[in-house]
Amino acid sequence: MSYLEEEDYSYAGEALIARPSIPEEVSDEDWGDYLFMRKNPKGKHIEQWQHSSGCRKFFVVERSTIDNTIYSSHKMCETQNRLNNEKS
Amino acid sequence: MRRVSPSINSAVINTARPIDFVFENKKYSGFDGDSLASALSANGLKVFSKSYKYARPRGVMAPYADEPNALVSLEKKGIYTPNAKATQVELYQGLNASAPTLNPDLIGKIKPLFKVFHKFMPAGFYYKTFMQPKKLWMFYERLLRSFAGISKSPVDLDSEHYDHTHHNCDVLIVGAGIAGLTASLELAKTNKKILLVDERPQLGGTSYEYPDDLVGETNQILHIKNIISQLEAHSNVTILSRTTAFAFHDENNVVANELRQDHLTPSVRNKKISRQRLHKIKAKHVLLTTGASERPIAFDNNDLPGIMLSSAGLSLLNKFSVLCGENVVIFTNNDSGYTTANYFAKYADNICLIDVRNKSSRVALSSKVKLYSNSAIINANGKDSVKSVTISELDSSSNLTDNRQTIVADAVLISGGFNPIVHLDCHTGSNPVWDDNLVAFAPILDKPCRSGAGALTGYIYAQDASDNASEQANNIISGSTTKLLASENYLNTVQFFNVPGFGKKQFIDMQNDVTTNDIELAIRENYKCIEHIKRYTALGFGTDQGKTSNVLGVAIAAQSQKLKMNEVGTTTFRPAYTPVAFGALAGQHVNDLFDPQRFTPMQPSHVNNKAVFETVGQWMRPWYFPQNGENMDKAVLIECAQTRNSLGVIDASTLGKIEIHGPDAREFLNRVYSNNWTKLPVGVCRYGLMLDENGMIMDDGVTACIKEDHFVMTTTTGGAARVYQWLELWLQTEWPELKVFLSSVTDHFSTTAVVGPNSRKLMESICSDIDFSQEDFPFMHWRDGTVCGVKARVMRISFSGELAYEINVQSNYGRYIWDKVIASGNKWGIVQYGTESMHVLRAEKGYIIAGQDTDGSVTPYDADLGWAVSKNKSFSFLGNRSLYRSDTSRTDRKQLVGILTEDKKLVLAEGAQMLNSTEDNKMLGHITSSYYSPTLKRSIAMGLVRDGLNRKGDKIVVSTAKGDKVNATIGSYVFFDPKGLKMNGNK
Repeated sequence: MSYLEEEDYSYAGEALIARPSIPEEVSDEDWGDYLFMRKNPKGKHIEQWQHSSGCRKFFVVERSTIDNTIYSSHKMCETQNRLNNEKS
Repeated sequence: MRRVSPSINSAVINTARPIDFVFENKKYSGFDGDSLASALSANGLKVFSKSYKYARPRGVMAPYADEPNALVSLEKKGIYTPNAKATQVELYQGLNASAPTLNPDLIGKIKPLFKVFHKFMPAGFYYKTFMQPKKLWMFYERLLRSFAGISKSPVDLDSEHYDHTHHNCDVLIVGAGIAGLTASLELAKTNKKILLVDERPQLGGTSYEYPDDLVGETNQILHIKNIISQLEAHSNVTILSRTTAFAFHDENNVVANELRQDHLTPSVRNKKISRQRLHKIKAKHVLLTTGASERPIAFDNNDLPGIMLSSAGLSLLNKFSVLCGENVVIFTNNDSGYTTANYFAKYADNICLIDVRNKSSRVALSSKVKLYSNSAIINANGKDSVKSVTISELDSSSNLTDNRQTIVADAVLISGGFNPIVHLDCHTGSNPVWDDNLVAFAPILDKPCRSGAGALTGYIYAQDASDNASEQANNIISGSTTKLLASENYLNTVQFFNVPGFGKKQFIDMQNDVTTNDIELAIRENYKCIEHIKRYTALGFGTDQGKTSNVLGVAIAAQSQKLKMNEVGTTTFRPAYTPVAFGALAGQHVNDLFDPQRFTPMQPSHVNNKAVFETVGQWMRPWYFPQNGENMDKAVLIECAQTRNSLGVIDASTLGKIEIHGPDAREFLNRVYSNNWTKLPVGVCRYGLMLDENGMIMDDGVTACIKEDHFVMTTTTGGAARVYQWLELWLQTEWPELKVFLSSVTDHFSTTAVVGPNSRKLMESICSDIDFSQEDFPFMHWRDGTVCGVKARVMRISFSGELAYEINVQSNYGRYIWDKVIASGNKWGIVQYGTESMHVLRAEKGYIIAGQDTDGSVTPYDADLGWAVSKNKSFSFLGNRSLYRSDTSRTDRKQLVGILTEDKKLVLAEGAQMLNSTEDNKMLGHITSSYYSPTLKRSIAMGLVRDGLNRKGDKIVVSTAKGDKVNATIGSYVFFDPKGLKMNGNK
């Protein structure tokens, strides 16, 4: 995504990071992972973006961190199943 | 050097239009069309600058954007331009230029000293010598900078303006030489939208340097002029000259800067149009036809003025009709030296051609030229400019022999081969590859929807470049691809970068004074990677970014490590290709347009009431109201005293306001706030504390329950946008099942807060349908009513500890209500107050400001706000889990406490460090808020202190900006009315 689009959209962190459903049952270390550990890959990365100067919707984008190629984009609701699977 | 009669074909100067200009306070004359470099050369100037490290004289070396030496400063004051390349500066009437070398007195004193130093100033010299002692580095650096051939930074505000524009096109063609023009015409015949950009003032690229290069039977210049006139008939083609494509971003986004008025006399520039324009171009396909630039061959003393690239000599001769010498020596490793010799044979009498090769050239040589094959220049002689060169014959394996002679020379033209200008292709991460056939680093052009043609891909001659450009243009039309690089070296270039040194300096990078020895030394000291060599020696730094030097540097590094060119590789090419003015990058985002300013509806009243404003986020808020020219401290004394004693009013409209609707609104509040919202009834407000997931305070504010499914949240002024984004993030990503709808209503309502013991009386005088008695309208409640005939929501909340009411009305009534409140309040001596008094009043009461007293590392417990954390909520609210981490649950964290100085008049600096004692330097924490309290008649401060909550009563010391340490005591941060009597109107 180029700077032209970045005036409309803003990056909102790595996607598909599920909040533990009962945080109190999670160890300090796992909670720390949830809070701070991010993938930072060279290549395909699954990210949240927001149409911040438009409809304000958050959505999910598969983007290459090397050359900004966009592989796919998804509505937030489309990722819920995947998120729920990871939670359980 | 002298002016010769202009070539009819290729001269770009108009001798009928002389132009007067000034260089170094001296008047000169040139012609319309001249560059500053050509005009000064025609006037006989050879020395343009002093070099960075050794203060050696330097002259023009290169033809255009690759020039390393001839840097100049242009004009003065608001139109001052630093570090322009004289080869790129177009002459205009009255141009005032100066050489960047500064302070001749200083140079006179220090230069002899430096001469002694020369031998001891190898690569890494600065690191090794000047970094110890560290304090002296600043002194050394300033001293060295005064020698550097680099302009001073501008100090005056830029008086000109700049703008940006966007393009969407089918094909962007970068470079309007023969290849770019040919491809443009081919593509123009389709219905594609074509954009052609070129950095030079005239289209044609280097055609003007090599006019006799034929296309078919036609002279190259006539050929390109024909193409240009044909292009004018095509409405789908846009041509931008004086426009440098300087950055190539992903997905074919190219940024180019157009110099729209730099070539005009400042007094005649059109004020209504921008000086420079940044073009942001999105292209479906990019065709790079950026050409190639010449590189030198290094030999001893190769930096003497008068020694230049052969293309620089040809540019002076064929474009500007300036003959750079009478005794011309040309040094080459390829056929282009023969072409150069032939052009000079038309004007000069003594021409010698030194060719390192033994094979014969494909270019026939004029009989006037004396040819020395199998030979190389090994040394140049002269003081301030070249006077002669020593040449040596080479044996069959290109080693020097003892057969030497000296040739008189006042101009030496070098061609060490041509480097494709690969920069733009490399900006997106494609490193060039050394091509043994082209004897150059060639572009790989491996990204989709991108191709190249012409000299960039090895097609040097006009006919070949033209044919290749047609082919590549047709590939774009048909969507096919063909071979990229020329398979033939049309110039018969051989790999020959430098001759062995003889103890004199052999310069690789002229702008940074990097020699072959420096590169070899760097390698000996184990800086072997080319990126390390670059940083250790400064090779390729500066305004030219090593355009003439990088490949030579790589070659020396390869030779001395016995590596292949590809094993060394290049350094990373990054934008910008050539320097771009900050003004162009900023465009119109300056001054008033830098950032939006937000005003409340009461703004005109504030201006009338002499408010001094401060910026809070984007808001302009009244800071204080000096009524009789008093300073801030005096104004604050009056404002605070009157508010505490009688009545004050503050514009609180800037607080963020978010409406929360929906059946799950209450549950949502329970999740995003640390305190409990389950039982908050309709008509009541509550202070809410918002934590991030790390358990740290991020914002706070009062939220009112309007209906069972409707709440209004307030946020800090600066945090409104961030909080709204934060709430949206959780609703949309993690809790889509919650039936909640948010809308930002900050601008929809304006808030007038009336504060002080007489506020109830005032409210009763302007609102008759609300009962303001303590029993009917207690603290932290809200009521709907009519204020001065306007529908209003009145909230009884307080950020000062006083009895106070906030009147919220629809924004367009904001000023009306504000003015009415002031008029009605006059009988109680109402005073308007700003943010400074607001801060003092809240600090006296120990109300925190999120973002000032907290900094993202403060938990509710650290801020002594544990009462605002609910432990009996079914859902684990944001940040809750983090409060149980081993680190956050420590009891000796930095905690928010009050700090009272022994000297009651002394107001500590915010940010000041606290220590146990003058002897113990262990840092305890820092002051977050500090004021003089008019109510308590002493200074007060809040601060984060290690284990502070357990240390109340302890004596500590606080450092001041002067370096003193003053005594203070830790205590509670509620300094005034700790029982909270005043907010119910009691004394």
